[in-house]
Amino acid sequence: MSTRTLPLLFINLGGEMLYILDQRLRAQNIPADKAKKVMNDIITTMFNKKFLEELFKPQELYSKKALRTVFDRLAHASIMRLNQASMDKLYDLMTMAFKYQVLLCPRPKDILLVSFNHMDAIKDFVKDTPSILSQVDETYQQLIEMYTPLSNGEFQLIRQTLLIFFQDMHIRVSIFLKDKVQNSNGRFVLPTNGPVPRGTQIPGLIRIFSCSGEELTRLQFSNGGNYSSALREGSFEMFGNRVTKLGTNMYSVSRPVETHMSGTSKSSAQHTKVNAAPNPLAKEELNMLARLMGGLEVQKPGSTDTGFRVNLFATDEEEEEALISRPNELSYGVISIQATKDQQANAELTKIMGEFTESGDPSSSASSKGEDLLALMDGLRVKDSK
Amino acid sequence: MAYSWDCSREVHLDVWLNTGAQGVAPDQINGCWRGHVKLSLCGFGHQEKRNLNCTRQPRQIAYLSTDTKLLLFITTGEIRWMRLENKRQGINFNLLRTMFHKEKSIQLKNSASALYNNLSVLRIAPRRLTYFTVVHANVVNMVSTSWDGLNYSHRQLQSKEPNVATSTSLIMQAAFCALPSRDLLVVSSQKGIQMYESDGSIMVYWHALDTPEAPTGVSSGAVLVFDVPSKGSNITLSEVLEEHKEAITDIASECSGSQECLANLVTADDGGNMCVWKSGEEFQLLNKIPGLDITCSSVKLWKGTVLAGYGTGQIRLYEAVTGILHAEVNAHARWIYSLDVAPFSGLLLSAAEDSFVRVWHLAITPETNSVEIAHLHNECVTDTQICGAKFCDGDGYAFAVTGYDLSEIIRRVPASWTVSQDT
Repeated sequence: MSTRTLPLLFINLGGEMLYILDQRLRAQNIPADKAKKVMNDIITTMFNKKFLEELFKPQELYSKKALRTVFDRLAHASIMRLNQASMDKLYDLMTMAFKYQVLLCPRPKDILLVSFNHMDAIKDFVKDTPSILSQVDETYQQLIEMYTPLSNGEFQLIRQTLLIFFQDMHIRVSIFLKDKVQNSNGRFVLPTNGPVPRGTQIPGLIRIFSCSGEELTRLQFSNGGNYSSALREGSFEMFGNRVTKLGTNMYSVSRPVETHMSGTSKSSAQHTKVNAAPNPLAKEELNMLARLMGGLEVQKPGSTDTGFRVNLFATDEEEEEALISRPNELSYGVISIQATKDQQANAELTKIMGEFTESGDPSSSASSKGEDLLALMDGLRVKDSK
Repeated sequence: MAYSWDCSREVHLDVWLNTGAQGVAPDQINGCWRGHVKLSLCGFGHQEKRNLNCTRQPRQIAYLSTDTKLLLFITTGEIRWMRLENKRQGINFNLLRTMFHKEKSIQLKNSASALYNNLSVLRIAPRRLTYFTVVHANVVNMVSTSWDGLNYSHRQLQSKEPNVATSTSLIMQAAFCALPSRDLLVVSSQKGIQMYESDGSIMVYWHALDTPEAPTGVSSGAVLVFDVPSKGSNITLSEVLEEHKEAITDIASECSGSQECLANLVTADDGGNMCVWKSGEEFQLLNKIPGLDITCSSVKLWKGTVLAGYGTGQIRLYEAVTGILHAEVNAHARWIYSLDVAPFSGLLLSAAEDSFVRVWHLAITPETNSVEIAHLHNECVTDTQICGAKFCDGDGYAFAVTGYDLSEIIRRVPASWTVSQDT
């Protein structure tokens, strides 16, 4: 499948994460300066130059586990803390939102417009901070450089790769259910009306030609839907009207973020076993995490008085309840490692750790996916020394 | 008005429609065309008659299979099937309805992935079985169903890992190949090509593809030709055809059993370009049909005509050898994922991301170079992006559909409906 999928997956999921966090920070009345710091820190980490360099390299998509770990770290790149249940919920929302956007894109190429919508919003979050703004602008350039020359077929391959990643995810999201874009069984509504994509004609016409190329007959047929002509083309440049609404911020303080866990047990029977099976790559994953440890800054949670916790649920009780009642099949299986304890426990890991410098510089030729990226991410963790 | 057809020396079928008093306007009570269907056995003086109510104007009798005793009768925008039955005193027949009726779905172990042509069907008549294959990421789901609908058996094939340390290999396509002497299941993944016996029991061949560490990740457009013996696993790579510059999306062939058939293979790529070949000791390129930079995701070859489905939702019919465009249809509102043709009756099935499966009728006369395509039926699979659709038999009597994230194979057959006896 496509080796150019990861940047789009990361940027779009990151964008959704920022929308949700922004909404929660405001809903929980976190002081404006702290909230801004969190957003800035996360965006700075997301768009770090070295990190993006690694991200944009042609590579296979990460496993769900590996990607979830990346976002775990990203969410904790600042003074904000999230409990397991809130992090799970955040990730559910992010992934279902992007899955919806990928599915509903009229043309595969429109995924790029969705990405630009996210980028536009991110740019707006940091418009007052020139240093981060320039990072974001550079990323626009990289996206334009890498993706605008691609053909429609190559975009469809990227889309198909993303759809395999999102396969069998049917978590119900309150805001989608309310807006009637998702059914109660977790599947998205695919309308058979509305504008056709650019480059496509409204179905209904048959033209028969003679051997010399002139049109002999025209026949009409009924298409069973209710389609209208295509909308105008969106802008694929740094600025401009993207036209599509997919990828814009659908949350606001008055539209809370919720997911329903109870209805998912039926569909989880079909939950993909591809990533959950006994993993012959377990050794691989361990190496990757071990490298992480090498660059890990041992955070002392709660040691500074500027740290705070964000809850994705309405109350702490709800959050606790969510953690207990989460179906096993839906757990992301994120492994949390306590560096100090395990150091002594595992000789092999100790040896690996010893090979790395303090900064966790990923110098060796990485054959396992994600090592470099995660190590980089850890090295970049905003060191809050207030 | 009468439509008649001599389908064989024994059976002669006439469809009579009432015309109005002046012999011009049809009888349109309740918007129906009334008439009757008369079936006569030539030389026996025996006749059977049935009343016929069509809501659309009858156009033609398209096809009769003396094998399966099915007759395809087409009106404007409808399909009518008739099944003929031999009775002791002659021939009985029932008119079947246009509405396709839902046959029980086949449950799959996993859902279907969003890949072009993601459904393959093989009918094993001697054992009264049909095999279906659907791809889910790195697994091929195979279901074998008995024709009486009572027995189902499942099997899963995983893509072979040449090197366990590398990432799981995603499958691009799984398809049955019906060769003259045997049937094979061919599974192609990023890492290589596997060939199995048609029941998926044994892998008979593995061909590794060089996987360059190159950044593109897009296949080169080469077409590999394999020599397959009638038994056993002595399969060899005999030729590599390098005409396409972009990734190959689909390949179609037609048995060169028919007299005038010059071309018997067509290959299509991501840019919509198609190459038409003639098989032989060495494959010969007969024609190149340029694309318009839109992926041709599915292609079929029938009676020397290329049937192509595109990312823009269009279907185009080209004459294979000359590249002349015969017809263009604005068929779907989204990317087409699958096309299938029922070779005996000329029915065409198209399926797309827009949730629709459409049935068309093709009338191709290679001798007079005339081509007609007519729309017959729409089937909407609600909230599903369809990724595979195939007829279950050569007549096109029943069809099966798969969709992204759907863990079942949906089936449709024309509903049975006995017409009242003629008075």
